[in-house]
Amino acid sequence: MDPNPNPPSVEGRNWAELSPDVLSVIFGKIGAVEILMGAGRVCRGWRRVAREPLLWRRVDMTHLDHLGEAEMEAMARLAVDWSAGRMEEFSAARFGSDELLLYIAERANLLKSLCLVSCYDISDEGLTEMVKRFPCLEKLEIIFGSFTMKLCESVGQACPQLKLFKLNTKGSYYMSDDEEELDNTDDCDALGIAKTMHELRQLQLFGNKVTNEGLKAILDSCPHLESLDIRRCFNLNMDASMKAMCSRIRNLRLPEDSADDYEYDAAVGPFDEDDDDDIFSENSEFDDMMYDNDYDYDYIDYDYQHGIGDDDDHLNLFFLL
Amino acid sequence: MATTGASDGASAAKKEGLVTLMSGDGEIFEVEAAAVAALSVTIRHAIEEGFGDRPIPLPIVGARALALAVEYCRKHHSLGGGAGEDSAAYDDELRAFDHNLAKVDRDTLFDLIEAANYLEIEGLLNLMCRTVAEMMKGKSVEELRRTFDVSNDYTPEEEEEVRREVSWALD
Repeated sequence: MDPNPNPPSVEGRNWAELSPDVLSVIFGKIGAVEILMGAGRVCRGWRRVAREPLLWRRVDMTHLDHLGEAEMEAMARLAVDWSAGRMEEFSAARFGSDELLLYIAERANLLKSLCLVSCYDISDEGLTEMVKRFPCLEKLEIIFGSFTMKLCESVGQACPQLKLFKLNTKGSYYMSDDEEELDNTDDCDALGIAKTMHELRQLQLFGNKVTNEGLKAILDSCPHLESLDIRRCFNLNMDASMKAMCSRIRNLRLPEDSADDYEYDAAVGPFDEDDDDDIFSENSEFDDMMYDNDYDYDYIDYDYQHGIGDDDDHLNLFFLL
Repeated sequence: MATTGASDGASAAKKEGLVTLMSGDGEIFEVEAAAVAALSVTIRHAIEEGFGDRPIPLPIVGARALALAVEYCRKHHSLGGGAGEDSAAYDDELRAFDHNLAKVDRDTLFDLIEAANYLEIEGLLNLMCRTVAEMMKGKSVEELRRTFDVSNDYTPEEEEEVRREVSWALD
């Protein structure tokens, strides 16, 4: 019970010697880019902590930064390297390419969740080739982009175990030169989902052109579906029979329901008048935790919040759509 | 240290419901067992292991940090029942208390983080780590070294490797 013979020093503290587990918690709160560009390079001790693979289990690069697309892509590759194969979740906004997806695919064997927001340089083929390497991928979010009407089917075929799928194809398809494709986009996503994603628990089709026929196909083909979000899908007619079919869905968000808590720009259609440059909703909360001890793998409770931090001054720099 | 109940020795008669803590620099604190045990996993385990009638030695925690940590436990126990920030009990008063506590100088911040980590007081550790994280954000490597008074201890070879990794951003 003697006092410690070496009581804490009254000299200035040596932050280089902050406990690695504490530093790891701090790094978990500053985000990937800050670690890669700043804190992770300060000194040997901090660098050692920054390169701890578990810190890179969950990499969220959706918030904008002062860096351009090429820099963000290089940063993402560095994050993949530092994760040493332990990355389980990856989110990107406004950057990314088929080459990056391949880079991740070859190095992140444990990936369970992928989120791509406004990644216009990623093609159907690139994404499909990538997810083929992850037949056990559980969560996929595709928000805006330049994908085609065939995306859902090819992705679903590649990942039959998908549990959570969020899709907002605003901006997609419209780029197509194929008039027939444009005319037929109504149920293409829904039918692709119905054909391939039979294990879905959570589905969000935001602002989709799905009709009652497409939704019925999904409900028939996805027996485990527990959560369905079809806000802004104005082609749907929620008549009595449609409502009856949806009655088994525990969490149901209807076309006319408020989109205030939608994580992304809720404007639908390519040329919406109130569309602004902001792909993220103003109301969304910024979740900068990359690494969370309490992370819950239960897909039912899983609610991936995206958004921007206080530093959204740079937000419009990379407006793409 | 008056508010934390520091006394000059462990010999004072034990009062009901109190537990004695001894900081790394030998200072004795008599505090409400319920409050500290509710918030600090380390102290809860020490009490469970029968340290109840003897001073619990906390070798790496200095008196000043221990006093602040105890104050944190008391406040959060009495107002929030020890519940976390997501709880409804985390009200404006607790928020203001935390906000003020986070305004400590840099050395105290360091000590409080290490204390919270050692004592396993999750809320305090999170609060302090968040404070440091805010201090780190948006700073360059050089600015971080200045802010935290950390020197560059890389060998020339390591320095080159670190530079090369992000050369695309620095060029």
